[in-house]
Amino acid sequence: MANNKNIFEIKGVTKSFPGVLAIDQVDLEIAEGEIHGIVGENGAGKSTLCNLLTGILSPDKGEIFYLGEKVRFTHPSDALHKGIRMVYQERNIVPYLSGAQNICLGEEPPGLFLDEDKILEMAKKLMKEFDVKIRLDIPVAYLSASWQQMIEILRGVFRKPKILILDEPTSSLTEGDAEGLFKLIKNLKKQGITVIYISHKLEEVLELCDRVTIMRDGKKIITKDAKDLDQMYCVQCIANRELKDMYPPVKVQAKKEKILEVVNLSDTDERVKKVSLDLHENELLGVYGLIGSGRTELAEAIFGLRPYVKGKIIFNGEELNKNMSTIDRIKNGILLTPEDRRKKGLFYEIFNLYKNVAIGHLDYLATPMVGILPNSAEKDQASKAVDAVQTKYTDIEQSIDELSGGNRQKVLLARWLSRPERKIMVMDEPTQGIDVGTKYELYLLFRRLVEEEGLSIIFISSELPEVMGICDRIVVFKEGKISGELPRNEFNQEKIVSMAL
Amino acid sequence: MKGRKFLLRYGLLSALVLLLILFSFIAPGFLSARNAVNILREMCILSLFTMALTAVVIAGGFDLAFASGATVAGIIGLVLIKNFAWAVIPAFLIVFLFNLALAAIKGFVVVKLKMPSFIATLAVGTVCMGFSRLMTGGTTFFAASWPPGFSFMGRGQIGPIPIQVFILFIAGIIAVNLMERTRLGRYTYATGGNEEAARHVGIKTDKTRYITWAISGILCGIASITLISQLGAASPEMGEGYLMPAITSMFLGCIAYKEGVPNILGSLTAAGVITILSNAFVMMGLRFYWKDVVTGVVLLIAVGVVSIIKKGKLYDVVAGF
Repeated sequence: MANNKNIFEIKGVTKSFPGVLAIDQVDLEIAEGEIHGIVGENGAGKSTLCNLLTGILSPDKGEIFYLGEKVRFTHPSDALHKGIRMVYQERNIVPYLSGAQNICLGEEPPGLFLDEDKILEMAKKLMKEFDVKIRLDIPVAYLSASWQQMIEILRGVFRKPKILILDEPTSSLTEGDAEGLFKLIKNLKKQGITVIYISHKLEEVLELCDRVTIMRDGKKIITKDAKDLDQMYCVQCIANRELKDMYPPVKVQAKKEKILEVVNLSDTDERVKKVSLDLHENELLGVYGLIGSGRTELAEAIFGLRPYVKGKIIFNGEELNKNMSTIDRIKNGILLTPEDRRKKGLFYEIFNLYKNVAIGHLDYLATPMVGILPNSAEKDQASKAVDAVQTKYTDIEQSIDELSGGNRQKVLLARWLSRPERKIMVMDEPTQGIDVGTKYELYLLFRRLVEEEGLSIIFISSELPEVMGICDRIVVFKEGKISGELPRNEFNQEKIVSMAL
Repeated sequence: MKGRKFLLRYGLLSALVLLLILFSFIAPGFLSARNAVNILREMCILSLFTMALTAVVIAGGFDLAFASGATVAGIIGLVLIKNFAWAVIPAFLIVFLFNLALAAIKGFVVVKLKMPSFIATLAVGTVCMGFSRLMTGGTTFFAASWPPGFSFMGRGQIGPIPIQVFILFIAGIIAVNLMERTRLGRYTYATGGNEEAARHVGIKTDKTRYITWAISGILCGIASITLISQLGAASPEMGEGYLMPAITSMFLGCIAYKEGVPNILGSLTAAGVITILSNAFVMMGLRFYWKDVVTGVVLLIAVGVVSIIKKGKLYDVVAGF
């Protein structure tokens, strides 16, 4: 059990970046040997706070005490030497090295040449100690995302740290591997290793941790024993609003007519298996399922980015030609905003704000033959488009790097919402990585689009609360197939989750 | 506009202007209409190659074979005229088409076979160089005299202005407008900047990349003809004198006007800077090879400064090297 010593004492720590106050005078104590959870929305400051503890960042004000001693880390290696290790949200593995090599990276047994056998042996021993089973001899690029994350966690515990900080450790883990992680953490506690567990998944945190700290907007709101907390209270502290206020009122306006019918669709990679799905006019249809269950692949097939061999898609009563190009589908009013804004949605560096919007309109904005682009028409179109969704920006020619995540998502949405023909919008994880306030604005927007502007939306999301909060109907995906469907009046959290797992 | 932004966008252009002023004072004979025209003429072939490379880079690829490809095409043209008594125009047409064919091959290998363009064009370039050497026996191929009209593009003039200057302006204006103000150009930037996102906007990225290679082929074709027309001879190494300068100009041009993104106008400005340097050095009587030293230093300083200002965030393609 945790003794009375604190491994970390954080006093009045403040950290800002240009334009953003990330950590606002935080006082916090982490007791030695405890499992301490830190929860909050994206942008609350959880990761930044821990980056201050590991030497990645230095505080602007305030003091940090480690094991009673005042410390000022200027470099991550300072913290590493003191036994502080962190496993980050994004992967930091070397794809072409093996699991064993990744685990021992930086802490290999000494010697003139690397002893690969010893490295493999030590990694295997560590794996056994924590009852994990992964292939350690092949390049990690070939492992699943879940196992890659496990490898990184194992690296964190190699050479037994004094404190291990985990940032969203279950983001890529399967159910089974998450269970394995929880066992691992409990094992660490038995060995006297302190664990800080950052997550936005309240259930996990409340089950696993001894104490939980809630953060919001860079401030520490409260630290309490986990047994004295429940989800509702946490949500209230995190979102600063009641659970019932998190979603706008829903007036189901869906008509009986089907605007889109997917019939027995199977793609060539078998990511989508005989999927049949209907979208009614003016319906906000939620598509829920675990990451990797085939929802994105279905969206890509509807949009013409993914070939399908079996099945058909019927739009407005007419079957779509399998080979119809994406641009033709766009012109017909079938639109897709992809998940992962950075990788698939926006153009950083090369295009400024208005060009990012206008790129979706050049088919009609450019002159017919040569395709000359009228400069002012692009800017005008883009201005109207981003203003229509209340995007906060300074200048229509500014770099999109300068916008917040929520506003970048608005730019992405604005690109398609300003199309002259809009019939169906497929949105893939549109609220990912966005703060609570902007999420609410987007929920209002989506409801308005189906209730008042005649759009029909397929809303793909892995966040069950929001799917239940704003959708007219939910369809559940599991391993490439549809496993269930519920109308709004029958929404039930346990039922939906059981359909997805 | 803020000082930093000005430096990032117009730094290179300012440097060019400063160089003009500097050399007007310290290089005898530099400041004259005649020399100005000379500089523009000297810029022509380098600019054509640089624009050909820039177009490919904007679309996300790279090309190491443009110079040796143009060389082997040029040699073929000369052989046709001298050894097979072809007329000038049909022979030059073959030179042009050969460059296009090479571009088609490069495009096919990179787009269809999905080979990394650096490796693929290195291979094609090496093959071209090999054929150049085979055809010429490793030495310079020349003739005592060429048919009339042969030297028109390379050495001809209209009034006081060399044809090459016209070529430079026409090709330059078309290329800049194509890339910056047409849908095709915008789609090319999108394809190179984020191919996945480009596909999600309905852009046919494969088609766009093929077109970029075609543009490269056309520009190299013109460069190839102009080169042999000017020299009246061909050695296997004649393209090589343009390889490094063109690549340098392309990278240097990235820091002009667009803060780290490849662009045609920047490439032209950079080609201008490099040509001014070599021209001025000749005027000052410096040994010829000093221009390489200075060019290299200019590239280091220029890209280094921009890199620092942008904290290392240069466009992917540029940063990848």
